[in-house]
Amino acid sequence: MSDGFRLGVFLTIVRPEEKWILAAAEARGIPVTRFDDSEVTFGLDVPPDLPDVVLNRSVSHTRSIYATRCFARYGVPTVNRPDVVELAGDKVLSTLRLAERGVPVPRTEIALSPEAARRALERIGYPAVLKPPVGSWGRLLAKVDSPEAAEQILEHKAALPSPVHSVFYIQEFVPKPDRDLRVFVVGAHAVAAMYRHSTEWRTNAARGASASPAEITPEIEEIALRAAQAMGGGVLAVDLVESPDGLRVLEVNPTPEFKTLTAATGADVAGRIVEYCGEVARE
Amino acid sequence: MTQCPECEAIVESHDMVMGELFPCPDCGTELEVLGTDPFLVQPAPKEAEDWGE
Repeated sequence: MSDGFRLGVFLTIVRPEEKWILAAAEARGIPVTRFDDSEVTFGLDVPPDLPDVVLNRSVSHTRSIYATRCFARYGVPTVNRPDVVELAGDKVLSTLRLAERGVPVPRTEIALSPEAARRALERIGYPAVLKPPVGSWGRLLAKVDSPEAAEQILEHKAALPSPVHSVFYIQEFVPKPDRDLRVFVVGAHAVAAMYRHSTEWRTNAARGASASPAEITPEIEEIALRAAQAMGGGVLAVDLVESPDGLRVLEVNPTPEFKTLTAATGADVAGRIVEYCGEVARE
Repeated sequence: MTQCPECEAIVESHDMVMGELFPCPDCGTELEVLGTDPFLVQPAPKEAEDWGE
């Protein structure tokens, strides 16, 4: 039985998440148009036969920004909205927004040159964490244990060709249990949560962290929903860390993976996403 | 069925969809489904710097 809307899915590759989304749409009788992010082109005039809503599942932050803007030009809403994609996909911009909205985050400084980064590291203290503004899966993150390590890491960063590597996002290293917490938010609801366990300091599932279901306590729900709303809402994964002073938001992911979450919790995340797309289409 | 472009092992489609990623059962190379009828595969695209969640 169709839910009465046409769904577009903008994607790079088909992982289990995308396969489940396509299957969830099919099970509901929702017609799907696939847009391959390496094939699609966008003209300036509105093309015919557009879907009612487009779900962005591209793994490329750059392609996501421009594609969601193009769909917006055509009058097609996207999940997530272009401004949410831009904001949440950039750690500098998203952390500024979280701080502006009073959502607790670890102590963070942004520096725009290696020299300024050295001073920021001294202020924050060692160990600290150095993150690229864009990118995830734990790539190019560095735990900086000492001024000597900082010298080497900053030198390597400065040698990288992209100017974005000269933007230094420096964060205190939060002493935490060997786990962090991911809360999956769809619209106004925290639909599932899991702990990610790792003996390594990075707890990304992409780095082999194991997962277990987490209870969504009122405290966890409140901070996750506040973080998601600060980004503008939609389908977002909020990563939290349990610091000695309480929960802190590490980041908010705008095109989140949920294979590990689904396995850990049994939640029908794909179904919830498709249903939310229907709500957006009908708005 | 088709062959892995890396190791030439026989790989079979199990209701795979266009664009789906899967590892070659023999050599482990990450493959992407390029076509379902006929079944075609290619090495999966390389991860770019701005890829992520």
